[in-house]
Amino acid sequence: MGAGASYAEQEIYAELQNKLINYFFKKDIMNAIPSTTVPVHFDAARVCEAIARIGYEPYTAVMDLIDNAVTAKSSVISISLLLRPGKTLKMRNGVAKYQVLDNGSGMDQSEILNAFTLGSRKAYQPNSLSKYGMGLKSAGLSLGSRISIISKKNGSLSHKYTFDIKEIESRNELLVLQQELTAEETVQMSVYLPGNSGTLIEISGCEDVNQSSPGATISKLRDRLGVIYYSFLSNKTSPLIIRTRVSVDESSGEFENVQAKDLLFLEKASLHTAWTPDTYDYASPYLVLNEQWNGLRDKDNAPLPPISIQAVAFPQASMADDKSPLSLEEKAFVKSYGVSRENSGFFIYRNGRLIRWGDGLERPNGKPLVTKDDINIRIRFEIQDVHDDVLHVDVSKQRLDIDDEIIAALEQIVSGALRTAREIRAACKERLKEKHGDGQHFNESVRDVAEDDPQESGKGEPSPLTITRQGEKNAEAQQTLLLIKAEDAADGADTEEPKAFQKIRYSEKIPYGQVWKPYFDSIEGVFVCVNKNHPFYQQFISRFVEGTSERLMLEAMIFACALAENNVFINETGTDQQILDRVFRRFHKNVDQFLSDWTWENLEDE
Amino acid sequence: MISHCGSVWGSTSSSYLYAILTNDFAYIGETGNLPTARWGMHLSKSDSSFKEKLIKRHKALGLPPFNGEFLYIGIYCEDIDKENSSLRKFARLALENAIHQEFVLRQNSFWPPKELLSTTNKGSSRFTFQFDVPAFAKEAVSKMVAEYARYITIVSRTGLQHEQYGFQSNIADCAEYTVPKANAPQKSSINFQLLLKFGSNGHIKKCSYRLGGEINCK
Repeated sequence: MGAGASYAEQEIYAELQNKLINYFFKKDIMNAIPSTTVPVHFDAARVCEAIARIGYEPYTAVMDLIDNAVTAKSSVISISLLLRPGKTLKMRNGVAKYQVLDNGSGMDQSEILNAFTLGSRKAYQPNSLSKYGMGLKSAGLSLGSRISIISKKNGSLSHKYTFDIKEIESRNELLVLQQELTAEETVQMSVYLPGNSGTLIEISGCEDVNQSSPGATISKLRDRLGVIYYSFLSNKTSPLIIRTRVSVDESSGEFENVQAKDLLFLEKASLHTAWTPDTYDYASPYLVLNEQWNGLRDKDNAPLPPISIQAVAFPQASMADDKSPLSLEEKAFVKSYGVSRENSGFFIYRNGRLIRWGDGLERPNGKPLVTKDDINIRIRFEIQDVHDDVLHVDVSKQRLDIDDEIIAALEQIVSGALRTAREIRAACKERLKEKHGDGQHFNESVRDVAEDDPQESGKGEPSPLTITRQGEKNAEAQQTLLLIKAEDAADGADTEEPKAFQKIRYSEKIPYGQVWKPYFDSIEGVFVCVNKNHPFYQQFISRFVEGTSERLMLEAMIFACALAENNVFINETGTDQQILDRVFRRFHKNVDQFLSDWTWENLEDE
Repeated sequence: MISHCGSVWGSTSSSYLYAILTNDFAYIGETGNLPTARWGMHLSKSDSSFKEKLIKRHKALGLPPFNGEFLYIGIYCEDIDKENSSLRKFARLALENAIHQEFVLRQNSFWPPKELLSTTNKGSSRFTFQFDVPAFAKEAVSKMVAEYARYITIVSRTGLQHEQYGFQSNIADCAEYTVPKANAPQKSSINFQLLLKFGSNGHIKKCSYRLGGEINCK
């Protein structure tokens, strides 16, 4: 092999390494001691009771049923919540029946019976939303005590099959009831399933399960379905339609279509990367992380496909408040992001379907990776079914239990994004503190402040040497002002000289190793240039926007030092100019070194 | 036997990033001096040295004292030296942070997995530099991956450390294999001749493996 291994070569060696590990692993298994088997039995009713308590909320259970419809390649899925007589949206346990109707591939009798089998066997396509063959039973039984299926496949309508927990309990046997469709049901199904295929799932006996109000369920569904199935709803070639309704009976109630919603606003955020305080507009979302994590392996040490991780940091919600200086249009944008605690954290997608909403992901010390303070960051974490094992995705496919090592790696990956989100929050907070036209800007603050050297007062006319030094300083100042003007022009800034002479300026042209440099204009007096390249400026001064009292105080301190230096330089005529130059160079070197070290030591610790 | 174990060149007062790797652990750092000065410190008994962190981690995990090899990889960053002198340290810190992230993102390229013993607990998003920090981090880690792969190949040729492959030595060791021609046009045409050592008595069999196929031992 040559001086450096190419990427292709690394891949070749990785493949050989995996092959060898698998080879010896299999040999080890082949040498295992043979064993005999002893059958064990199970209690059908108890098992059903257990799977109904996997931990679904009504809206997550409905979503599990939607997953099955998506797996069946449906293009339209209709969800209905039918209210119990006398119950309203606001009353707990108010649902009489849940209906999930789809126009997917449908099922024949054997497929329906298989669907009711606990741990039903089915060859799921790669990247399917279904996996364990438990969803229908566990989700259905968490909503009610009876699950019925009527399906149409290749134009042929099935019987009605019902999985009734009370029937199973009474016989302690896993079974389904099979009934021919009534004439009324046949007519209804021709309306529900006008096409060649589709399935109606009904969950009844909902009064047997203690659950939240239909209003809470439907608002969760309407709020979240657009985000959860975003990639399916926004698919350009075959978009999925999901509709929801609440009604008092099956014939009334209008369906409302779910709109696709990208909670990361990636289309907009991808236009804004590499956040800097100087260019931030306080209204745009920023794509602060966009990487592929190629660091996980399966139990046989084979590399798993990379996981896509994207993070977007949003402006604080308060930027849309009345006191915000943003325009109405910008405020509307900020409002549309819905920045809130609930909408922050990790959004974990599995095969394109959101399975965790705003998870903080707990670290080994119990503190979440994304804390309640990190309100303005959303991290999209896209896994596939092949990652289920390493990330311990549970049977409901709605929870993960990520182990400490993987959390530590994730922490490393997202720490920069979290830091930038924190800076954005701080920048927004500062922006809101900015004073507008109330006369607190530095120029105005020094308008009536004398710049005299107190040691020179009462001495009469300045000495000729003072005037010479002032002249030299003025010449240097005029050159610098031209340089700054050129710098502004290069940056596309307005080069018109402002009405008031700028007593403090920010520039990238300051000699290296100096935080600020004083200048003397023979008409306007002292002015000072602050070095924008200095870490003290970048980390601290720039944090406080112009006009805030913190910034004004800093500017006053710097200006005072600059004024003092200038006055000493031009008035201390008993000291040789070269000596003064050397003294002030040393002075600035010390200031530079101290503020640089101080900035380093006071960078925010994680 | 004599083996070459690396050369380092460069000037002092320049900007470098470096990684120190063992079989199971890694350390990423930055220095404004020739890395050898810093590397020597990492073998000292100072609390912040890599060796001391390694000893502590081995103890915490109940592992025997570390007695393996160190791999030092240095990266010279000329563009950092073009920054304002007072910003260079901050530029190295930003790059160091980004390299930590990139190292974790590409953990599969540093197999077997390595726990990072260095930390990046400070940083700032407020600094702007004249170079693209994430792009530089990607390039730096690519260079580290290439150097790590080169080291692995050298070690495998000399048979110094078979455990670098992550094999369990009580099952088998890979004694030696021929190195395929670099940039072979067809992957499937790459053949490995393997000498595999089986069991505790070290019985060696001649095996072959065509890329994408199965290992065949006579």
